[in-house]
Amino acid sequence: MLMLPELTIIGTAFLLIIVDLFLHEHRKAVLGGIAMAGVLLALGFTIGMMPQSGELFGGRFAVDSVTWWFKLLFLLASLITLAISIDLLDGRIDAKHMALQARGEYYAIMLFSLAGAMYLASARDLVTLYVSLELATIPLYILTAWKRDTLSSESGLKYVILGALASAFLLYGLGLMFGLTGEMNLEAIGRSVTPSPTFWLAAAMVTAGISFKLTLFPFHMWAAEVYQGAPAPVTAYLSVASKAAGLALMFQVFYRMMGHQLMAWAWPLAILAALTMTVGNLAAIVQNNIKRFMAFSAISQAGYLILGFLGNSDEGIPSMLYYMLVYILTNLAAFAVIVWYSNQTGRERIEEYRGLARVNPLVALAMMIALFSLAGIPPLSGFVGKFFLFSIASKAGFHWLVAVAAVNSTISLYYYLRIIRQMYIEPVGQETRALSISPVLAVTLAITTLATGAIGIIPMVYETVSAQTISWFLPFIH
Amino acid sequence: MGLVSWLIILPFLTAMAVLMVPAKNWKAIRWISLTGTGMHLMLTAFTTMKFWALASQDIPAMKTATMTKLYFVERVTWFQTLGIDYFVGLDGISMSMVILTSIIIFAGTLASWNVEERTKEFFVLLLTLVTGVFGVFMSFDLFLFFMFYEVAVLPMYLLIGIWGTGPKEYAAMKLTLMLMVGSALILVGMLAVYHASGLHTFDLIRLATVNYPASLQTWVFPMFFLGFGVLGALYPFHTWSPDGHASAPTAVSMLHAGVLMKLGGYGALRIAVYLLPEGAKEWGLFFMGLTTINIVYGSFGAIMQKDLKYFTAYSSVSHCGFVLFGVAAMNLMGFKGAIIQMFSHGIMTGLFFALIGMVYGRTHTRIIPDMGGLAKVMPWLAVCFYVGGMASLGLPGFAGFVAESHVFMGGFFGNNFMNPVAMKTLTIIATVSIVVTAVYVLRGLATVFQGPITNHHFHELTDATLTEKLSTGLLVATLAVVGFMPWYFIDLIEASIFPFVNRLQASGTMVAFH
Amino acid sequence: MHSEQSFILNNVWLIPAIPFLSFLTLGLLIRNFPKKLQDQLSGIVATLAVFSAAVLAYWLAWEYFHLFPAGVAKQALVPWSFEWLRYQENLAVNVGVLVDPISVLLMVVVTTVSSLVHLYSTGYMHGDPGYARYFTWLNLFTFSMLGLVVSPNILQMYVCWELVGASSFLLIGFYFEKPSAVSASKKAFIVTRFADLGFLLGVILLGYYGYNLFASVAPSLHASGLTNVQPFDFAFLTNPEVMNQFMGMSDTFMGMGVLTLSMVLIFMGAAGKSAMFPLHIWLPDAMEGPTPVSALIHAATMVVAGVYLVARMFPVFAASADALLVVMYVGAFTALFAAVIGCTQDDIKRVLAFSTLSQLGYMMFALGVSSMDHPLGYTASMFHLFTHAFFKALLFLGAGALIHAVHSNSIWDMGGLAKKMPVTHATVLIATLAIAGIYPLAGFFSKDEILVAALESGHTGVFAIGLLVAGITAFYMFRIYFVAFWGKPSHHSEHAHEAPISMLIPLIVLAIFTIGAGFVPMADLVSIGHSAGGHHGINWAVAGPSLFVAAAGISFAWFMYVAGGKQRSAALAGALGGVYTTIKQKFYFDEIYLFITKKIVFRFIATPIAWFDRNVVDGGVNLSGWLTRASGAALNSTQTGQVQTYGAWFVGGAVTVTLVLWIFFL
Repeated sequence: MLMLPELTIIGTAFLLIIVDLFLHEHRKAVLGGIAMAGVLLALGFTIGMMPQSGELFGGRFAVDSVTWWFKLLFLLASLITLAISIDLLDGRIDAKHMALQARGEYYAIMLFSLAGAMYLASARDLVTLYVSLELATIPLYILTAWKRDTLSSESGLKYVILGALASAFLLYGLGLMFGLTGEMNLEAIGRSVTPSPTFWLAAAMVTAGISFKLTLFPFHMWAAEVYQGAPAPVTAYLSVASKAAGLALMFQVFYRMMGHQLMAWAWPLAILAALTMTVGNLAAIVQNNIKRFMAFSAISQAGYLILGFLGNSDEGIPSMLYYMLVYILTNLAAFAVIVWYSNQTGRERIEEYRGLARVNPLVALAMMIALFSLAGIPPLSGFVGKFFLFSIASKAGFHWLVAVAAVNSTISLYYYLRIIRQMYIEPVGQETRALSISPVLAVTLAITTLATGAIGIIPMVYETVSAQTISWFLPFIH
Repeated sequence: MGLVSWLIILPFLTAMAVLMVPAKNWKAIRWISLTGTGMHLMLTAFTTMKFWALASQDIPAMKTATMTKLYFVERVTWFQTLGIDYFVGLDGISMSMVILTSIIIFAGTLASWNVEERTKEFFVLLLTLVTGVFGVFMSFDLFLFFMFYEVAVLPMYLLIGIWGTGPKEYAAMKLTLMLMVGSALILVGMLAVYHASGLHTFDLIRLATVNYPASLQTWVFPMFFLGFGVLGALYPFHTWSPDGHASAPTAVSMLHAGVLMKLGGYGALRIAVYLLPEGAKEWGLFFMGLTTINIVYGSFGAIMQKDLKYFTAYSSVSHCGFVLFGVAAMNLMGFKGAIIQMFSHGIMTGLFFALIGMVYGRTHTRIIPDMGGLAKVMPWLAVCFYVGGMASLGLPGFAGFVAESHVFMGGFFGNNFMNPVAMKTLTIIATVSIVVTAVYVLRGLATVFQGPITNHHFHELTDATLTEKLSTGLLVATLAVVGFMPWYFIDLIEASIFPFVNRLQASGTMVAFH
Repeated sequence: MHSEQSFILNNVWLIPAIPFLSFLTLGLLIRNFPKKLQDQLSGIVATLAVFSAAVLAYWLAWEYFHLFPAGVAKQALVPWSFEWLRYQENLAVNVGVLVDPISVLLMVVVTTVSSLVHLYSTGYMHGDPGYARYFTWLNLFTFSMLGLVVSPNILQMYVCWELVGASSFLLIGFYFEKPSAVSASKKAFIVTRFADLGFLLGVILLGYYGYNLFASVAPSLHASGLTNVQPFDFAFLTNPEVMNQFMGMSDTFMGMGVLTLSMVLIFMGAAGKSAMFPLHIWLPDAMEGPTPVSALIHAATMVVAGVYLVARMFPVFAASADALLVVMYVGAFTALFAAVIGCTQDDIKRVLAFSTLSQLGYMMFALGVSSMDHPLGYTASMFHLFTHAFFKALLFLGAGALIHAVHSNSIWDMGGLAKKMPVTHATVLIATLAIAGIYPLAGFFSKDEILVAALESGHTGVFAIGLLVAGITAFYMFRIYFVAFWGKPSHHSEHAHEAPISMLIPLIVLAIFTIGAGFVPMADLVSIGHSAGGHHGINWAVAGPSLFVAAAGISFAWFMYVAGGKQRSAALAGALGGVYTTIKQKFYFDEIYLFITKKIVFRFIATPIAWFDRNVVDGGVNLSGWLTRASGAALNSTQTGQVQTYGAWFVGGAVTVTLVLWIFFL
């Protein structure tokens, strides 16, 4: 029963493949509906069952409050991603050359990845962890190369190679962990492991693997090309779902396996965070392709995200989950606009957004809100999320890190303002005309944007996360 | 919803109302904004009456108080787990700043009567910005304060970027980024204080009951003071202001120089000094030195300016120097002077920028040497300009004198924890500016308005229109009223200033005079 | 003493209030009327207002001097005051009115001259486009001046001090389209402003030390009936005990005690307003204003504010002998210096301006030579202030009439006006004789008293200068008199005709004052310190010589300009050569000041600062932005797109992390 959401997703995936066989081409529009329906259903189950905890298969699969939240995040991310993919796959676009083929498989594969991520959150032993991680990752390689042009395939290939490298490191690290303790169960490892050179080597390996998924410096390099090459909706999915998966993985490893060493991790993590946010921001300044640009912005966001691990303050976990939620909504709002714009015009360069505010004021407004939220401008949720994370760092005594982070968000403001300047200040180019927007996309955009504004001001969301998860990690650190 | 919330929300509601109107009938939009700001002005007047009645009674009682007394408080729990509340209220300082803002935005709306390009966005942004300003002045929860603070700063980017002139994108970006770096520093300090207090609350008043470890105060105070100082045009972080003001459209310059720069001084007093008295004592002299540079340097810088807006911007640097100077003097007269200077400078520069806009709208130049003899064709504007000028050089009878005399006295009288000789010396250096100010004001204005008319086109120019007369007249009247009847203003603010002084006293060594 | 029975003593505030109200009426109300109505009303309203103020002033004088007749120690009353500005506890400014001999005297002078000037102006300014504006500002000035006169505390004094400065600025620059007038007004304001910096510092200094010892002396002050006294009040500052405390203070600055320092600073302000050397440069240029303005502000009233301030603070000055010495020397030097320059100027108003300077010098050193024990100079100074106001105003108004007639300021464009303008001629002659110090005109008595004071004080040098200046004064005054009235008519003065009645009445009235004022028993009315009696009658030992030098001066002027005509004076000028030109160029003081401001302050301070700000400070900001971008570009270049690069980074990263962890934990 506890596995119901995962089963729903996998079921939907298979259903899609089968239905896809028997549908005429012009009927296939229904597939997107099915996929979304499946995800919605799973979402329903999840919300229905959280935050109860329990386990299956002798504890290899277990759920608890944080797990549920992660599943919620994954489902939300996928749902929105599906919503912004549909136009592209159904060909309801003006820039025909952007179109993608084989929507049935596309949806199915995306759902498999989703299922993998959800299992990842529930995994409690090394094997399950690793397998589910691969299940979450491998479909992404395929999706990245979905648009079979040179750029897309190239980036897909890069992703596979580097991904394999990362998995290798991770697997080796996990292997060492097993070797050190002879335990498969994560928490058992956490209880029995003692600091030793080998342990730190293993820890470093695992960290490298995680950092790859979370795009932490210097393991972030792949992101730029992959984000740029992949089809826009896939980029969107990568930037949120795969990061969320990375965070889930990090929770598994850092809390369950290394909870006792958490204090020791503070300094290395602080340095990692500082480097990541700085590098991401600085590199983002000079980007021109908006997808590549978003890649770097996403990198810097990851830098802020891991501030939550500093010190073992109980507010860390809710802060990170809340920020992840905020980030998913905000980033997908931005990507909804990006996808829409490239669908309608095939343009992806920042300068090409000039004058958008004059022809599509509402879309531009949504984009501005999303970007400001990413930059952490109050009263948008992005600000609130960041504020809580900074507060964690400050509480742990890393005031310099707060300063670095705050200055970084100023830098980020600079490049977000570059886009806003194009949309609002620059005069309209003569070829710019008002673009049509499909209802699905419009609704998605509206919802995400409103949510971006709302969940910062309405305290319920954070209060709930905090209430459910604030004491979650205590067993792992004592 | 109480009085204070209304004061905050009213401009935002107006903005929403504007948002409803289709962009093409911009005339309606103007009227809506004017009504909104006018209503706000009336509401402010009403609040002031009520407030004055209460506050002036409390002066004797507050003489020894160390805790700020708030009026019309509203408090709603917000993020309960982090101790964040929606906590707004008024004390004398906030009240005076609210009056200032309300007047400026009303006058500003009148002054931007002929914004015809993208009127809708313009007023929406303007009103959003001013909402932020009101929020800052009336919120007593650090989180809320910070939230409003950034809301007040950011619309500036678009306002300058879209409706500005000259190198507007550059100016707008520089302004935004410098101010944001400032707020970054503030954020660091805020969080440090929040965690150090151990009270698990952002409630400013309660945070100010804690005596923070000296080590903390030593590094947090400069964070705060510099952070706010950037917005208060503290040397050497003032350079955003000349460019920003020069590029900004009239109403925005008014609002920015008139009100936004006050957030700096306000924050420096309300948060930096109030929360961290020990740090204040430690750094007071240093910042007094910096602000002395502000005052003198700014006034000398203004002498050679050719562009009327740069001219005014540099005089603003000098005058905002007085504000921070007063704060750094750390005694009753200094703080009082700082507040009065904030008010008078706000009105004064508001007036200046309004007039510059009006003159520019007629002559299409802001270059001082290109103008001459305008007094003949636009007497009203000339008179108002001279009133502003006289006020800015501290002529008695206008608010400027009340402020500057307070600040000078404050600096000279000194206090027990800063080197008296140094303070006196700095004060004497600062007083030089009153002569320099006279020099540049008279030179500038004489060139623009007096002498024979230099350009024959100027003969066709007309004097102020009714709306312009209204907006400038309002400002001039305010300057004169505060200047001639300072006691009302002082009764308004004095009761709320004692706590700052007394908290300084209470922590460690005593303040000399209060 | 009791003043309940007297209406005016209780409502002295009316005297300044009336002009102020009329100022508001003109400025806010009448200003908006149609031009014609505006002009008709403004003149009448303004003049009536000031006249009624004058009436009240005379009434007040009558009441006051009957309340304290001769021989009775005259008290300073503060019938009305309220807290205007509260700096902090025990440091507030109580705006109010102070009624004591000199304030009463000054109120009389100011209102008299002002009302006559108003009347005169209705004729003189007739038809001027700025007619209404002119009267508005004239009223503003009258109000500020009266406010200054009645100040019971030094801060109110400062406030009104600035206000008279501002209104003088406005009136000098009244013809704002005339560049010379504009620059003159700027100059006047900035120079006095510079002096006021000293005043302000002095005030702050007094406030500071006064406040510090306030607590200790307050009880005894209250005991002595000085309730509700504040550190800024003259009553406080001039209180003997307070002054002793001041003297006792150990703080010194450049060897000067607190008291001396603050008095010197305050005297700096006084010197600025009264155009004492070296701050005199603004007064001659101030003649760019309309002539009645020069008569009122720059001859009779505002310029004597400096003298009045010193007189007001006299006990404090006296307490610090050094400060008083400064006053004396500056005064004496200015008297001589200005008189010398006066001999060479051709612009009639400038000659009068320099004579004003020199007469102010008299008043100053008269104060300088006196002391609390020998207060004769004090009385004499006030006496001279009193008489000078009348005959100098008369001279200016007369000059105005001449200028009105010949449309030129140069005395050489006048000439032969004696017959054409009989009334003007007669009145001006009276004034000229008065300033030359001829018996029995007002000037004689006051100047004589000053000289006596100088002699008795033992400052023989100063006495000698006074005597010498008396001669020079007689010379240059009669120089302009002879040239303007006796000299042969120029093409300008051919069609000259007598001024309208509205201008003649003030001349005549002032002439009467000039004749009568000398017989006012000033010693009974105005005195200070111990020997209330002072000096009665005429000390012929002094009067004789002074009359002689005056006569000498006059006859020399006759010898030069009547008997000799133009060529003789030209010959003398040629003979003196460089000396003459130097004097004619006013010893090049304007040039020196111009050099300091333009060349030094503007070029070597202001310009560099402006440059520094734009390039260095702002350059730093831009640099930081540039650096950020540059590092961004650098980082971006690491994104080679080569998988092996990324792999290398990855592995390198992993190794680094390992090392870091080991370093941290082993």
